[in-house]
This record gives sequence, C-alpha cells and structure tokens, in this order.
Amino acid sequence: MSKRKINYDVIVIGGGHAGCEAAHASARRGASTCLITHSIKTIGLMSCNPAFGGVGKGHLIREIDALDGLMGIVSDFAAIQYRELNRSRGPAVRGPRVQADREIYKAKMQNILLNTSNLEIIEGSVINLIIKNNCANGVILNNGNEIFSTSVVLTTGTFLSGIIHIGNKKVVGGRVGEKSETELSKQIKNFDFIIGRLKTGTPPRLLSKSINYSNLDKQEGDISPKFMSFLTTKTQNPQISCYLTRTNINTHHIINNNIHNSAIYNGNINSSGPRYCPSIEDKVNRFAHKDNHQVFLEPEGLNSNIIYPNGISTSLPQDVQEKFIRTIPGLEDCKITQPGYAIEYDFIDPTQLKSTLETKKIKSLFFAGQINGTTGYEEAGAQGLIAGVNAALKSYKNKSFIIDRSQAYIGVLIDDLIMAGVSEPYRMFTSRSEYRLLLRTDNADDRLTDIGIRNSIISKNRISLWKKKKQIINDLFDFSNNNTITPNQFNKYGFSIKLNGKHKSICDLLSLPNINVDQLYNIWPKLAEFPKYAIEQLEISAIYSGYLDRQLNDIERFRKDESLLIPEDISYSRIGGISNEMIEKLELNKPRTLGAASRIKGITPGCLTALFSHVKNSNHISKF
Amino acid sequence: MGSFLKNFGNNSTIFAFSSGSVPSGVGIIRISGPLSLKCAKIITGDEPKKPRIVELKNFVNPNTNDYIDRGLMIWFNKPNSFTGEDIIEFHTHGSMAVVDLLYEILLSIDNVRIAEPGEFTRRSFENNKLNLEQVEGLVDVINAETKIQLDHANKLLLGNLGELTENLRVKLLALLSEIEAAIEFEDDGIVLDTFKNLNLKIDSISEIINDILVNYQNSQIIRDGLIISIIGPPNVGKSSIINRLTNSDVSIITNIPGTTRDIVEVKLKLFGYPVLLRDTAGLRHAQDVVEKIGVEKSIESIKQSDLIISVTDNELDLPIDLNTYNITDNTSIIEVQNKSDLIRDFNKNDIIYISAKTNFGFEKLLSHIKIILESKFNQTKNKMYLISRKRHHEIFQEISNSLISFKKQTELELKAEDLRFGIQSLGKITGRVDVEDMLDKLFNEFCIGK
Ligand SMILES: Nc1nc2c(ncn2[C@@H]2O[C@H](COP(=O)(O)OP(=O)(O)OP(=O)(O)O)[C@@H](O)[C@H]2O)c(=O)[nH]1
Ligand SMILES: [Mg+2]
Repeated sequence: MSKRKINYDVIVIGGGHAGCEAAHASARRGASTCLITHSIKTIGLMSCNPAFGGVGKGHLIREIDALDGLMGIVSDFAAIQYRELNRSRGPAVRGPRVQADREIYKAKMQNILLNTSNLEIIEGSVINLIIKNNCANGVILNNGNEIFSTSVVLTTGTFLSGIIHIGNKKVVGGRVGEKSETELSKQIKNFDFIIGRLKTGTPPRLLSKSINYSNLDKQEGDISPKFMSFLTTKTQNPQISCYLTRTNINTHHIINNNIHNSAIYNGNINSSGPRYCPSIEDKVNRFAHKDNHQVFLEPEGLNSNIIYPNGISTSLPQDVQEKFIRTIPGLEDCKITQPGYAIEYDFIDPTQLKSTLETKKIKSLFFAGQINGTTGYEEAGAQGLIAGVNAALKSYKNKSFIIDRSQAYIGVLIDDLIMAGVSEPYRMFTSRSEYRLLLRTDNADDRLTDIGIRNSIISKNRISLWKKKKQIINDLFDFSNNNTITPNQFNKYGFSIKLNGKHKSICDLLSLPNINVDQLYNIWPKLAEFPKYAIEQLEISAIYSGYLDRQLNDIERFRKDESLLIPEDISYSRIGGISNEMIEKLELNKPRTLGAASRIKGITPGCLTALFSHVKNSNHISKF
Repeated sequence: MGSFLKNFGNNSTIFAFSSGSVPSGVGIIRISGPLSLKCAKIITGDEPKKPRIVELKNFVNPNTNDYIDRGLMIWFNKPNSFTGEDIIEFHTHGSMAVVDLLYEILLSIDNVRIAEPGEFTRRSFENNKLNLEQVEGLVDVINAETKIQLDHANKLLLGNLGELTENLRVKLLALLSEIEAAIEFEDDGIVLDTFKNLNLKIDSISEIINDILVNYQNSQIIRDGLIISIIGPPNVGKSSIINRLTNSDVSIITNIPGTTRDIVEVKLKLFGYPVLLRDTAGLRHAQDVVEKIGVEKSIESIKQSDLIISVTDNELDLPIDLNTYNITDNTSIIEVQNKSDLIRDFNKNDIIYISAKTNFGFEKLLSHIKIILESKFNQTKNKMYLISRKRHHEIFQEISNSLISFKKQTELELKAEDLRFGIQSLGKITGRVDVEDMLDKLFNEFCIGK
C-alpha cells in the first residue's frame, strides 16, 4: 500500500462521546478536522447504561448544549423516556434525564458527524503519535499512513491496557468485542506520563422476552418532559416505561457463597473502583444489613430485545450470574444475552494537564474523556468539547478557551481533575460546586452561550434563538424592577405586607415569602404576556435571592484570584522567601492562576503572598 | 440577568490587632479600607484632622457611651499609606478587655471585618506599594502569623473546645451527607428524614454552639467581672444598700425620690470574684430631662446584668416587673424588701427582708449572692473558658446564624447551603473541610449504586 501524506489542523482519535464532541467542536471552531476511529459504525456507541443526564450529569449536558455541542440534541432525538430527577426539589438540583435508544443515538450521531463541514472521518487504527520537539504533529496508522496536524486529541477511553474480568476469566481488550490499543499505550507510557489504574463494572444484559413484568412496579416517564437541549421543542419517539424489581436474601446468599469467584474479591483486581456505583458483590458485602437492593430494568431501545438491569453490575462467573439473577422477582426464567464483567484500565493522571486539557509535557497533545480518569458519557463529552475547541485554537497564537468553576460544572470538572487528580473514576455531583445555586440547568445558556458566541463556536440558528430569549428575559427583569407599588395599594389586593410607605418593585414583592408571580397578574396584566421560561427565571431569582448574593460575592473574590495569570515560563526557585517544599508543589502543578495555586494542597498564605507579588511585579515589568 | 442582586465591591474595610499578643504594654489596632475614617469617628467621636499627626484621644463605646481607654490615634492617608488605602491606627494600653471591646465595636459596623492572614500585605501589593525585596522579608512574618494562629487553634483543640468542635464537625458532616445523598441520588431509594427531624438534629447541634457562645459570655465575666445591678422604684433605699455592701459612701442618699440620676459603679471583689456593682436611678415615669436619661440608663443596665437585685420597700406591694425589659435566661434575680426595721410581719417567702439602716438581713442577702456567683463562675470553669478570642466567637456566631437559617428554610438545597456555609465557617478553626470529606461519609453510610 502506498503511503499517503495528509494535513489537518486537528486530529481526534476515538469516536466515543469525548471524541464526537471534540471533533464537532473543533470543526465548529473552523479547524479542518479529522476523526480517526476503528469503525464508523461504533461512533456514538453507548457502551454502558442506556441513559443520559440526571443530577449533575444533566447539568453537564445542558452546558454542552449551551456551547452548541451535540449530546443534548442527539439524546433528545433518541429519547424514549423523560424523567427529571429531583422534580419536587428546587431548580438548582433538578436533573433532566432520558432513557435513550442505543441504535437511534448512534445513527443520529454518525449522521451529524458525517455531514459536518470541516470534518472528515477516517476508519483506521492509530499505532503511533508523531512527536517532534515535544510537540504532537500527527499520527501513524496501522496501514503505515501518516497523517499530519497542528494538534492531536486523544480520546481512547479504557483502551489503555484494558483487561476484562468475568469471574476467573481474563480478556485483554477495551470492551467486549473490541481491541485494546496496546501499541499506542506503550508509546504513551514511554513518554513518562504518570499513569494510574482504575476499574469499573457493568451488569449482564437480559433478554426482554424472558422477563415476566406482570408483578413488577412500572416506572413511567414525565407527562410534561424537560428536554436535554435548549433547542428541542417536542418528543421525537414513542415513550416507554421502565420496571423496578429487587434482589432478596436468596440472591444475596448465592452471591456470598460464590464471592471467592468474583474477580473483585479473588485478588485479580486491585485497582480502585467508584464508590457510588459498587458491584452487587460490594453492595451485599458492605451493606450486609440491607435485605434487598433495587434493580431498574431499562430497555435499550424501542425495537431492542435487550434490557439493561441497572444496579447489579458484577464480575462473578457467568453461571453464578445466571443463578442469582433467577432469584429476582420477574427474572425467574431470565436469559442473559451478555454476561456482566469488570474492566481494569489505565488512565493518565490528569494533574499533568492544563485547563485546556493540553498535556503539560507534550505541546499540542490533548487528552479528553475516560482516559483522564472520569466515568460517564457526560463527563467525557464535556472534556471533548473543551479539548476540541482548544485544539482548534492551537493554530492561533495565544488563544485558549477556558471555562472556570464559577461559570459551569464543566469548569468544576476540569479544575477538579487537573488540580486534585482522581483516586476513583470521577463522576460529577452537584455538591462538588461551590456555587450550586447559580450553576443550574435552567440557566446554562445564560451562563455559557454568550461565551460560546465570543469564541465563535455557536451556530447562527442558536445565536438568533438565544438572543431573542435573552432579550425577553431582560425585558421581564426590567419590567419587574421598574414597576412599583406602595404597600398600602398592594394590600388592597388582599395581601398584608408591612406598611412602611416605601414603594416596592415586582422583584421586591417576589422575594417576600408566600408571594408568587401568579398572584400578581391582576395587578400587572402585562406579566401574563411573558413566556413561561422568562417567568421561571424571575421566580428562581426570587426564591434564591439572599443566597445568590452571597455566592456572587464569593465568585467575585474567586475571579480576582483567577484573573492573576502566572506566566508559563515562571521560575519558582527565583521567588525569594519560599521553601523548597513550596517550590516543589508549584513545579509539579504549574498552576495557571493565583487562584489555582491557592487550591493546591498545603500551599501556605506566605507562599501565595510571595507568588502574588512576584507575578504582579513581572507583569508590571513586561508592560514596559 | 441577576437583577435582584445588589452590587458588590470587594472593598471591605479590614482590621487586626497588630503588635504581638495581648496583654502587652501597647497594642495597635490597625484599620484599612474605605471606612477607616468612619471607624475613627465612631470610636473617638471625631475624624482625624490631619494625616500622620499623633492625636491623644478618648476611646468611647458608641453604644453605651462608656469610656474604654485613652490612647493615640494616627491617620495614614491614601494613597500614601502602607496599603495604599486610608489607615487608622489606635494605640491602646493593650489589655485584653480593651482590645476585645474595640473588636466588638468595629465588627458591629457594616462592611468591616477582621483581616485574613497576610491581607494587609496583600493589599499593599495590589496597590503597588511594595517592591519585591520588601515582600520577601514579609513572607516569613506572614507564615509566622499564620503559625501562631494555627498553634493557638491547636492549643484550643487540645482542650475541651477541641472535643466540642470535633463533635460539631462530625455531626454537621453527617447531616450534610444525609441531605446531599438525598439530593444527588434520588433514584437510589434514599429516604430522607422529615424536615421536622432534620430540624431536631440541628437543635442538638445548636445546643453545643449555644453552650460555646454562653461560655464565651461567661469567660468575659471572668475577665471583666460579673455585673450586679441594684434596681427598683425611687426612694426604696437602693443607694443605701450599695453603700452598705461596699462599706463606703459611693452613692448620695436623701429622702427625696429621684436622688440618683446616673449609674454609680463600683468595682470590687466579692468572695474573691470580680464584680461590677451598680446603683441605678429609681425607675419611674420621669418628667425631668436629666432623670429621664438616668432611667433609660437604668433600663440599659438591667439588660446587661448577670444578676439583678430588685428592691422594694414596705410602702410598695409589688417589685418592678422585669419581664417588660426582656432580660436573657442567663440573668439571675434576687428580690429584696428594704426598710424592714419599720414592719412586723415578714410573711412573703420568696423575698429577702433587709434593712439598710440596721444591717438586718444582709447576711442572708450576701449568702444568696455568693451562691449565684459561685454557680456562674463554676459553670464557666467546668465547661471551657477557652474561646476568649473574638475571632472564634465571630465564627461560632456565624455557624449559629447558619443553623438558625437552616431551620427556617423549606427548600432542601437551601438547607444544604446553610449547612455548607456553617461547615465552611467551622473550617476556619479546625482546618478545611472539603467535598471529599462529605463524600467519604456519604458513601460509607449510604448504599448508592443504581
Ligand atoms: N427606715 C429606713 N429608712 C431607710 C432604709 N434604707 C434607706 N432609708 C431611707 O430611705 C430614703 C431613700 O434612701 P435612698 O437610699 O436614697 O433611696 P434610693 O432608692 O436610692 O432613692 P432614689 O435614688 O431616689 O431612687 C433615705 O431617706 C434613707 O435614709 C431602711 O432600711 N430603713
Ligand atoms: Mg439613690
């Protein structure tokens, strides 16, 4: 075969959720982009559970969507059940979630990517990165072809030295039926990246026809669905139900009797797994006092025969899996189509990355997704988007696209990864954000779309829709701040608020307890002309008002420290007065801002002060 | 959008005690920021006239008009000061009581707060007041400053307070992880306690904090003395009683009602305990301007008192109704009836009959006072009298406020927010408590894993 030589701005390796967002974002930003995947047919594959979103994860999807990414739109397109979590709670912690049809999701994602301008997709296997002068310049495929680029985004998931465990059996590979990229992982290890090992598990898949649903609890979707994307206006598929069943003491008995055959317990696996998604072996052992555990039976698609039993991931031998599953109500005659397994894989310690997700070691090389120690489609997609845009910006001098902790969960995710690293697969929780009341799913567009527009990654259609929406919301807030009433007049409408003679605006009134917009329509009929989404923003600002003040105040302090950039070429040892220990910590972490430096464990106020003045001073000098 | 939100400037005014630790010969309280001049006016009555001129001033508590100390005031005007902002320095006599009082007054001013370690230095860099060499010298000072504070915190942690705060941390974290589990993992079938029960749990935590706050007040008592006020209607013999108790003629006695018009205060040791004994103006609806002010002061004194001696005489059936002055639960009351030399039947049980003329009943009165003094001082000693630092008091007050807000909230995520804020405040004493601590607790307690 003859060697071809091709040039792109950006190469994205891997067609998983990080890869899809990275490739599309890079192309959106105007870079000529090449996505390399083993097989086009696996692009957008949902390798784990057939669902998107939830609390924290739903926040990430809305943010990806607000930046014009794909995950929101495509998951709406494939949604076969909408169920918002925490529906009864306040707006900051509600999490939109969908069950998605695997086939529809994949097909739609492939369709979009194949029709994206600036983007080419190549089927192939990357065996080596081309690296010159510590800078990534392209890749070499297994057919010998070299492809060159300004930057490379690696999104190869669990492919780095992945080992699958089913009971005592071990299989080398990424996921069942897929090859692990050993050549490439060898090369990466040779660059002396610090690498850690993690594990995760998946449940067996069940044949739907073999399940008896008649006595199981049915879980239906929401009647008025909350869409994942700001652009979606209606459901696109017939909606289905899920079912709920439970394990029992017999199940637990079988698991306990065979625990020595589980890969997690027989010593085959030592790496750390997530605490929030334990295998059924773990649950039965660690929470021995619980006599049952929930199992959600989630259909994998409209026309699929396969059920994903959420809650019983396991690495027991296949025959034991069959045995314990048949003790569960409804699953007495159940057939397993694919056994559950645990997978161990290498990840790159993400503290070696900058907040653009470029590696500190090798210029123009970006890592995104599960390879950085995260779990979940949403976490992967969010990183892909950031890495993709930044990879595209590599063709420009000194341009980068950084979202910080005060702007989005995407910022929380990346800052946590690069500052603290991971010790278990990292998953988003809303409690990870200091500014939870501000970073909501309902205002992701308000927080991010304008930033996206400034960075030229938002399509015309979304820009015009967002501008309209923003105008209407601003009008409503203006209206509500400018229209006032005296308490005396107001009380004539049947209220009893304090009579201090001061005029009160609509906003003032709404921040009083027990007063909501519905009650104000007959005083200001114009309010009824505003759409629901705008009224919703007004109400949320009112219920959170006191708390939002405090969080905004905190954010201002945070921003001040974040705005102090530490030059990349700083030499820490030249800062007088700080100890070697401090210098080491700084060298290792290379914080980009003073704020980031303050989040490094063990950094003293004195050290920060010295760093601060050093930076201020050198900024000062460089101005002249 | 955020049209509800106020505008924030990060230009708060900060202050700190900045010369070694008290007690020392002279203590300097340094204030920096836009409100420094206002602070000067509040404490000395005047804004400084010229920068960099030393003025001798009386420091007065604006809330009580009490004289605090006589000391020096200097104004370093912006932008020529160390920080580049207006700086006021008060040079005081450095006693703990004086410094604490000044802290209290400054903290009561909006937008004025205690400086974080290194904050003065930091402000000077921000305003380009220091060069690199100067900074390098200061780094050690700041690290040392922080170390002293940490050492102090550690010292506290070794004592009873340490146990209490640890207890507090564990309880707050447990509650937060319970709430966060319900928020993050709705689908995992986590049953959240009712709000009523959550509030009950908070009550048990609030109790610990109230103990700490009450003990703080008590530790003030130990330092400054317990306040005993003699109150009652005019002419019942209050001044005669204080003269008897102090064995002196500190207060003027006449048979004209309304003789005492200002508070007469005597500092003395009673049974070895420091006490501030106060004679007050007789409580009545006064016409005279001077007497009116006197009555107001009496009422103020009632509120400040740790012990009230409420006096009547045989012409009056009823003592003053103290309920109308909303005194705290911590205040003790002794009711006495004076001029008992003029009567025969002593038939009321809950009253101590005395005579300032004959000295009758004073033994009994003193033994009652002794019991109360002992209980107050011992109560303090037994628990802990360690949070004597304003900074810690401020932190516990912050936590207390968060918990009060927690109870009022009806939205779970706002309850969580209050808890998070409280835990963050506690972290200023015990060291940072972060998300990982909470998650550890959460995953240990709850089986998560849909
Ligand atoms: N017989 C008798 N007279 C007393 C006694 N104690 C005080 N008096 C007299 O009562 C009058 C008022 O005494 P004060 O001590 O001035 O009373 P006060 O309560 O301080 O009065 P104001 O300051 O006006 O509120 C004086 O003429 C005292 O001599 C007592 O125990 N027996
Ligand atoms: Mg008198």
